[in-house]
Formats: sequence, structure tokens, C-alpha cells
Amino acid sequence: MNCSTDIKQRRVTFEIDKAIDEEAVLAAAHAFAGRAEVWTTDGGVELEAQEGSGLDAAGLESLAEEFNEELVAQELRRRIAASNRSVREYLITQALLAAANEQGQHATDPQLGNLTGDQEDEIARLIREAEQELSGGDLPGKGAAAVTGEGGEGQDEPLDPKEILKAWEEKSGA
Amino acid sequence: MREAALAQALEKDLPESVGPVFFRKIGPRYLLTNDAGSHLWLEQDPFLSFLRGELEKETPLWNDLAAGGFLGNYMNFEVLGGRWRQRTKYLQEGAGLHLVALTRRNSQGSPYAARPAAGLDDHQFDMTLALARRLAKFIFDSPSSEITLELRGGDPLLNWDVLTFLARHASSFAGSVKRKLRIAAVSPLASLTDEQAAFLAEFKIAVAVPFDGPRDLHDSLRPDLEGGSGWERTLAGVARLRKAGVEPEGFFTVTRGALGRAPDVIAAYRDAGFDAIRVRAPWPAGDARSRWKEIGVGAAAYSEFYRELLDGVLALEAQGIPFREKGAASLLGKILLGTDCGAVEHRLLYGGGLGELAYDYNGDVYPSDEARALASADGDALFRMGSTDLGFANLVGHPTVRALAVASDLGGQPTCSRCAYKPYCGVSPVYNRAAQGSLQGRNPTNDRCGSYLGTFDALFERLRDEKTKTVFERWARAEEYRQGEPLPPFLSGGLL
Repeated sequence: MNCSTDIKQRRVTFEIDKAIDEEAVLAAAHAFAGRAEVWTTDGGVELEAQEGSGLDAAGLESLAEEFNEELVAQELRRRIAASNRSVREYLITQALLAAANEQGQHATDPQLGNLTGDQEDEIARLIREAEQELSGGDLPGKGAAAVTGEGGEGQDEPLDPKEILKAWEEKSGA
Repeated sequence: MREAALAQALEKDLPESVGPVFFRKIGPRYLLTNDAGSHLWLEQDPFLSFLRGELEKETPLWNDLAAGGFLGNYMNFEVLGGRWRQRTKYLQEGAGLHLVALTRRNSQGSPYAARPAAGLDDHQFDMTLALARRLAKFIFDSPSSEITLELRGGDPLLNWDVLTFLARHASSFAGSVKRKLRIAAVSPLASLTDEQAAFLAEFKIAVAVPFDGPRDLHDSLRPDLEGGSGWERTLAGVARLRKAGVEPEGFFTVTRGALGRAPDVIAAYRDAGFDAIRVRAPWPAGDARSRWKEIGVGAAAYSEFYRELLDGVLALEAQGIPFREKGAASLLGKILLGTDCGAVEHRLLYGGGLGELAYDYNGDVYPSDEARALASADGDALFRMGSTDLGFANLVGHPTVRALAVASDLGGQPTCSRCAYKPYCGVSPVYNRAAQGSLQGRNPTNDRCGSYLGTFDALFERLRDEKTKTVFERWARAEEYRQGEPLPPFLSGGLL
């Protein structure tokens, strides 16, 4: 891989591997914040080292090598995250449900603690989606919606299976 | 220009065997972690083989990867989900940590002293008994079965009547409603009397003291406002407290004057009779902001100091002298024991409002003590939510708490979401606000992020040594937070 340097402008330009996605370029540029400004060019990138960095040609080349390492690492991280998104979401959804189950004193369904019918439907839908994705193989970018502490679409009240929002008297019946 | 080491792994799609893994290159090796909290070191070639799906099955390395949950096609969801659940139990709990600033008055200076400064006799900056009574009721109306009440200031001992009222009232109330209670106080101990020490002992109040080690360092950062030596008065207080049977712990804030002096700091702590230290990075807030060039420390310098200190402490351990770094011990609990250490700043979502609430002397409520202290030191009341009149549900569901949660969500932070230390770390939007002017912050240039990267690097590098690992396991167990107990005190982030 070749690069060209401009010491006066503190710039180094080089082509990047075509296998690297734009998201990885952005992530690598973010990681280099404070060290260099990163400009995308047609098929490559141009790094402009921070003012006062005092880099000579070798220093600029070394900066480019380091950035290229970061690009590859970020692209791998992007691919790992994309290909495992539904696996991670399934794992965490199951863990949250198991936790709710551990604590669900008023559960009608042992899988779904103290939830309203709408909330149960929403969680059941999320689980089904995650399981469908897993059974059909990982589908990057099509993962199930993450379960958060919020109610589902159209619900005004937040989920509160542990009654975190309730005062002690209400919770204990005191 | 040479090729990137892992470039070959980009030649084809990732195989199914590469599971949800985070990685970080440290020296010549790669550290692998995942959401379940597993970690594993791989040399470069085996890591490349892993990424290319070329590892031979049933080898010791393959077995280690499978056991850790790193192989996408050999994941035990029940086991890994159970580990994730164990590590994030706090998601099922409410705010059980309550930090109350009893006064702004303090007999020692501090880089984060309140503005306007409160004179030693300036009682307008004290919490009143009436307010303390309302506050105690509010705290015990909260839903947590386990409550930690941490008294801060200024110096909370200077508002002694309110301190004793809260301690008596909380203890009695906790007993009558069968709720677990832990009380703690952070004080320089400069004005501690024998009677006060006896009271702290009687009510089992844990005490922490900001102590900067060598005399010159302590006195330059925390001068005695009555003209004496803050260092002398603090040590006198420590001795008085020990005589009453209470063993305090010491906080050490790394400032520029400490750089290169880690051995002196350890020696000063040992001379003062401490068998542990808790190291903290400085904040660019209050006086520390305007004096940053004089006392501030960036991430690189902090990390270097931290490694030096850690090695000094481990050298003592190697000689059979028990001494531990308590901050490390808390993080090691997450790494080695797979448990939550109870620190509200090391969560998937910032714990301000979700795990902790803080109250100023005048009844103002903040999501966390660092948010309260920032308002006190900088006059930046962005995080002030109102008073307890809002009620518990409105406070923990306050838009400020939601904004903090969104800004700190590790899955939404560009660098954190794929960081190898994500399973063990957390973001403080309050620090981000103080240091970078936004809740989201920008981690690549964020000293808190850099300091934690340095800390985790130092811990993981040393964990490769079996003898050190044994020591670290002992530290982790000594600081282990057991579910069902009140949150441990002194773990809330902040400015001390």
C-alpha cells in the first residue's frame, strides 16, 4: 500500500481496502479525534495531523499505518456486531425475561411477570422475532427491537415489573 | 506502507463461528471479551485463525473460546444469559443509594470547594433539621429494600446535629420496617472529637477521608482554613476514629504534584496506618478547572501514575504485606467474579437517578452526587431536578434522568458500543458535561475514558501473571458486593 505525504500541510493520503465499509471509516476517524482530521477521497483517505504535531515524512507514514490498522479493526468490529446483532438481542431479551420471571410475584404466565396484556404481547412479539431470526440464521440489520425499560409503541406508561417507581407503602401494602 | 495485521480477515465474510466478541490489541496480543463478561487472550495468529474460521475443533484454545461464549455456533444461551443477568442485576433495582450534603462548610480547602465559599461559621449553608426530617421520610418512602445513606459536604461533621438526627432516625426507621441500611460519611475528620468518634462507632457509620498522602501534597490541595496543617489535623482525626474502633478508608485524587511520586503516596498511606487506597482521577471542575495547568492530570499521565502505583502495591503484596487499591478491587470483581461491584458509574446506563439520588443542603435534588457537586463547585445547575416535593416516581422518571440514561447508553456511544471494556465500564454524562460541554461527550479525547482505558489495560496486563491473579482475586472478594445488601458506600463517582 502506497501513501503520499505533504509535510508542509501535515497531510498523508492513501488508498483504503475496498472491503472496508464507510461506517468503519467514520469509526476510525472518530477514534483519531484529537490526533488528526480525516477526509475521505475517492477510494482513499487523507489525514491532516494536528497542528504542532511536528511530524516528518516518516511520522506521517507511521500515522497512516496506524490509521489503517484502526480501519481494519473497526471494519472487523462492524462485521462482528452486524453478524451477531440478533444473537446479542436474543441473549439479552432472554436474560431480562428470566429476571422478570425471578421477580414476578403476580405472574399469570411464568415467563412474563407482572405485566399488562399489551406489555406481554409486545415482549412475546420481540421474542418471536428474535427466535425467527435465529432459526433462519443471523440476518444483519434485521434484528428484533431491543427490549428497553419503556413500554411498547403507543403505550404511555413505562414498564415497571419491579415496581421501582412505586413508593414503599404502595409496594408493601403498608 | 506495511499491511494491517488483521487485513487478511477481511478477505471473506466472517464465519458463523465468530460470536459476539469485543477485542482490543494490547502489545502483541488481543484481548477478547463479551457481554457475558468473559475474557480471553489470544496471540495474533490464533486470533486471525479465529476470525477466518480456521481453528481446529476440540483443541484447548477452541474449548476456551467455546466456554467463554465466543464461538457463535456453540453458545449456551442459558448460561451466558444467566451471566449477563448476574452482572446487570442493578437493572432490576431502584435507587437505593442516597447521598446527602449536610453543609457546604469545610475546615479544609478542596479543588472542588463550593462556590460561593462558605465560611466556617456560615450556617446559612447548613441543612436544617426540618429539612432533614422531610428528607428522611422521603428516603424511606423509596421502594428499595436496601438503603445506603451517604453523608457528604463540605464536611458533614460540621453539621453535627443533623448528622446525628439522620443517623438515629434512619437506624430506627430501618429497624421498624425491616429494611437493610448502611450509613457512611465522607469527611476530612479535621474537627472530629472523641464524642463524635464514639457516635460514628455506635451507629456503625463507615467513614472515608480524602487524603493526598505526602504532607506537602495534601496541604497544597487541602489547606487548613484556620491556618494549621490540614494533613496533621486529618491524621489526628484518623487516629481518634481508630481509637473508637472505626477504620476509615482513604481517597487519593491524582494531581500533577503526585506524578512520579507513587512510592511516596503508598508510603504515606502505610505510615498513616491504611491498608488500602482508593485512587481517583481529577475533574476539570471548580477550582481544579481554573488551576488545571497547575494540578490537572490528563489520561496518559494518570495511566502512567496508576501503573506505577499498582506495581508498588503489588510489590508490597509480594513481600507478604497486604495492601490493595480499592478502585481496582471493585473493577476486578466485575472482571473475575462476574458480579456487579455496586458502582453506579460503571453501568450499562449511568446510575444517576436510576441507582442513586443526591440532595443538597437546601433540599435541591440531583440525580447523582457528582451532579450536585458540579452545581456547587461550578454553579452549573443543569442537573438540578427540583425538590423532594416532586415525589419519588417523578424524580426517578425525571427528564434529566432519562437524558442521562440516553447519553450514557453504552450501546449508543460510538466507541463504547464496540469497546473491549464495555462489559466492565460506564459513562458519566456529568463528567462529560464538566469536561467537554455535552452529555454525550467525545470519548477519544475524553480524559475519563482514557484514564479507564489505562486502568483496564494495567489490570488485564497484570492478570496474565498467575501470582498477580491470585492477589487480584483476593482483592475482588474483599470488595465483593453481595446482592440483597445495601449498595457499598464511596463508590459513587464525583468530586472529592
